[in-house]
Amino acid sequence: MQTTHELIQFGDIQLSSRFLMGTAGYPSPQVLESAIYASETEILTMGIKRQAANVNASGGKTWWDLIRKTGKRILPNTAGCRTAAEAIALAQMAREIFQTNWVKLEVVGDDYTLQPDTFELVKAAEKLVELGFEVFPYCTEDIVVAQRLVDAGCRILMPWAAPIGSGQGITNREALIRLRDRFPSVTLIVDAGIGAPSHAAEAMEIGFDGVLLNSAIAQAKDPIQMAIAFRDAIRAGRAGYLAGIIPPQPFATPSTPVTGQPFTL
Amino acid sequence: MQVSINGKSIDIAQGSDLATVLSELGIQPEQCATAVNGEFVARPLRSERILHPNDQVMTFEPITGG
Repeated sequence: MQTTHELIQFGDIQLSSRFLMGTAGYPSPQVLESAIYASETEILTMGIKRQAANVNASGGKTWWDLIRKTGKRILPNTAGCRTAAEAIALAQMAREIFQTNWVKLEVVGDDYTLQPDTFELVKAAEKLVELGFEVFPYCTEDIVVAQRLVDAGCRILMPWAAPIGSGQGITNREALIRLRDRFPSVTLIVDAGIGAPSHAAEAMEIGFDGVLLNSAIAQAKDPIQMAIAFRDAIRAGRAGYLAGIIPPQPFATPSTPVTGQPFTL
Repeated sequence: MQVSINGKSIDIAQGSDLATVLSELGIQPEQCATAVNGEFVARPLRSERILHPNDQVMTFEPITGG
């Protein structure tokens, strides 16, 4: 029998946590550190940025030192990239800095929604796979795009639930269910738009393999408690999925096994 | 000759390579990644990358991210 402790596959690596956590926007390095341990995540996302003209003014080192000490796997992103060429260059720099071939591939095509530019995304994925990267593409729920990414060599897909940081939860449930059905052997992670623990549980209940989120924890009143809430919600959703959720029906079925009405013969 | 480092113009000697320029600016070579004109230059290749007038050098460092 499967249990909630079964492993999740990320390319050639198997891990036990289904919770991928972003590291941006926390009130302090100490709160981030506590949230990381509370979440029991095994994967942390990070970015890279151009240094200031006065390089010594950089303040990012404290955070990186702290994150490095946790010993968690790093999933670098290509945030801010608008073209395949930019994303390919940034991914290579991230590989050199973080010493990992993993990359969360982001190529944004719309400023208002931060929706991925799926044309550039596929182009970048093809090249990065060729260069030896394990590509985690941040994509939409579009099945054709998903197929192109899989054809390019992606073994993990990360469709959005809703626009990044919006906290709306899953806005296109049916499309995500279809994606799960069509790509049963691909590791599917819901990335972006998650606001509440119940959103994460819903993603897991419909069969997703994991959830990646950042703002919902970092911007919570109590990020550490929220990390715990998401940890438990993700586990509960996965357990529910494995246990087999009953299909909804438009009519009632009595759950108490009485024979008709108790006082009517 | 003039090149730009992270958006700031500086004067360097003709024929300077990327590794030397970074070193002269006090940039720790192990703590950043580099690109010239938007193209990645791997750490071991910095000393072979001769800079030309108006080249745009960028150095990158880790930040928190989602």
